[in-house]
Amino acid sequence: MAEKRTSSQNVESGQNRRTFLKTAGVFGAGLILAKPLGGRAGIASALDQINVAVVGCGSRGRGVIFSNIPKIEGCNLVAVCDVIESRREQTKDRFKAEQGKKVNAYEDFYDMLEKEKLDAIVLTTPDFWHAKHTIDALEAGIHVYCEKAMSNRLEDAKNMAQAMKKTGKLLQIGRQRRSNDRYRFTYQKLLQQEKMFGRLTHAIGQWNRSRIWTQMPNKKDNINLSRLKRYGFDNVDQVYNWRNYKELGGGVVSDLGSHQIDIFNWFFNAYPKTVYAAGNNSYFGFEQADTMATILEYDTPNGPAIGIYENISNSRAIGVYERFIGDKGAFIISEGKDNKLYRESAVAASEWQKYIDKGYISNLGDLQKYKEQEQGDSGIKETAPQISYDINDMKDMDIVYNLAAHTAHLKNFIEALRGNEKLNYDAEESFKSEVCIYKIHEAINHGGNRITIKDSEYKV
Amino acid sequence: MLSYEHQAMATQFVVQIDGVDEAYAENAAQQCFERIDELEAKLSRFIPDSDVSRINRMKEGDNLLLDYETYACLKQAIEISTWTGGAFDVGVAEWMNIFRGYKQGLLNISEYNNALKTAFEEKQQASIYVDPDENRIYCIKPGMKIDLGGIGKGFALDQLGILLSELGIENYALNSGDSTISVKGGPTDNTSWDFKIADGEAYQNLQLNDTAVSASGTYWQGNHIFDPRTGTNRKDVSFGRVWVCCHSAAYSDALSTALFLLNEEEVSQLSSDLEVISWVAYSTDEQLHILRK
Repeated sequence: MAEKRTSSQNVESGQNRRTFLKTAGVFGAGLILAKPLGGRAGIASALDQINVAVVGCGSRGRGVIFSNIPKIEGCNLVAVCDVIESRREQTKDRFKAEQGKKVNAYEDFYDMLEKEKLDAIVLTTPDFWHAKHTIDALEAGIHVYCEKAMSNRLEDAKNMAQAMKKTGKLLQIGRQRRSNDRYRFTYQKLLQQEKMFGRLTHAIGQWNRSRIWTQMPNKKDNINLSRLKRYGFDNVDQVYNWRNYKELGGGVVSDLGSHQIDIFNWFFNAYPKTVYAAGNNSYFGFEQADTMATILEYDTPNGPAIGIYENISNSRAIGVYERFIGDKGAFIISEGKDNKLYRESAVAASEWQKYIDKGYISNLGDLQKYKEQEQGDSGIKETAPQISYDINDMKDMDIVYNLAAHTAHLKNFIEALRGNEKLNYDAEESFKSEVCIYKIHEAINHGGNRITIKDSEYKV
Repeated sequence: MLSYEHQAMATQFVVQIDGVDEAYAENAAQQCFERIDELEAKLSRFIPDSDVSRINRMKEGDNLLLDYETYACLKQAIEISTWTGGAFDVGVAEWMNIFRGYKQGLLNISEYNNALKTAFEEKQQASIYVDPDENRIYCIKPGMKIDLGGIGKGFALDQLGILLSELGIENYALNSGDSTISVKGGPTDNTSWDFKIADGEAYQNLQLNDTAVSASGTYWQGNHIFDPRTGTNRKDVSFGRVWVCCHSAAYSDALSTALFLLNEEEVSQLSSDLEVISWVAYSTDEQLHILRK
């Protein structure tokens, strides 16, 4: 295992960076293909490798394998596992082609556990497999990163959290916004430390997409249904579109809504006490609701608040975002392009100037540095543009990952495994958000009920 | 022939597929669109956690591991910049910010001109190294911000071509924002795809197969074309439109941008020298000129 470091940032800065600068290349070269004199600044060779396997080579699994793992120093992919031979073999071949490294491919999870020396597994499988694989791996002494939802059964989600506590192994759940630098900065600095937006009263979230895409096998996928039945799939459609089946997954509420409602819970420092929800499957006709809306009532430490969440599966316009409203300001935050801070008119511009001075936020589209003092300014002139604010430098943070959220979340897991960080989102924390997601399912399935959630229900 | 459209990278992508049943074509198109969104998340400087945004936040002495795709795209961009003597340059994002700020009224004309000058001077000092051996980038000296808008859409079409090949689809035409197309095979009973290049009354019919073509011109951008070699806008471009045909859409996309800034002699020289170019066409005074190899 690696030496302890104080933060992830030190991996790419600190001593290595200083050494690198002394021997680095010339200024004014532009963008060029070159290695700095003195070699690269990375520290991968100095790290103990963390041996990881990824279970599930669908689109999420491929994201972990090709976009997340290669950007984490010392995260050593040794095996992949998938029930479809062509999918796992293609993944193995592509990893060799892109990363120059051979990994082993397995059909059977337990065969892989027996043959490989693993420190950790990443589960990107259908929800109904999560609990069994997680609990068995934890009990075998292997740390687990499991994609959300924890399970499609609340009792199984609780069992997973209990297994984490019992074994003392790590279990991180994949709600990746919890490791997104801007979300963490907003929570730690703007909300908790500065209380910049005053008392938060509303959270509004939407996930807009054009359709629920039903996937089908590629021509080159060699499907053997009798083998797939061993793994709990009754037909080929269940393998590719398991999210649409109640016995296998959780539908749009679990898949998409849970990412965003979890942010309501996090930023409000509370969990819903009541849930109203309605939904239907009239648009696509799958088992799960394709269209839904919910209202969540909170008793936050600062007073009552309301969360409003909608999932739209027939229009992509407006995208995916969360919006929070307080009595001193509001903000929109997302993993995409929609990110903006708004000062309430009753709050003087001078009051937010201190956040600009601290470097936390910027205005004028970060073009302030080009503004000039006008000579002989009378105060009456052309119409001034409206001023909005953006997050600027994420200063004074314990850790800034400077990675896309999915990579940052996995990096946090790897660093926690090394003893350098605590998990940003362990199974016990995740379970609380799973509870309110299941209550939303319950309300929808009962035709739009109002459901009260007791504090005790959030406990593992 | 089946056609599907998707909005991404500030434009629209169209995927046309032939030779497979509708369900399979739609499934393939959806996989293409998922791939485009994935690439945009890595390559867009407007997405705060993209690789390009990470690069643009680098401070002196920082280094970053990049996604395979970002790294590959940057390497191609550097290659084209070298070939064209800097007429193609991805280090132009700060200028784009300044143009946008001026248009939005955030900067007045004096501030705008001074900002362009400052950005040029800072860029002249910048050094960003892309490691030739691994997916890593180093900031030796900041001062340059990256925008892959001149190559990213073509790069995306190349990636879709790889994906469609993996899906066993041999007849397709891909289009990003009408400015770059990438084709393979042909529609029903044809061995190539029919296209036309035109400026005013002048036009040329094309039958394309297993290739990519990109266009650059002033139709959407107006007469003010930014030249990264000088850091200024210029009105004296030589052509109405320029088209470049290459095997790779990333090359055709970036080279059409660069060649539009050159003069006829320079275009002729590059067209002849660069192996990646299949042919170049350009229009002057509504006359088409085609430089074939």
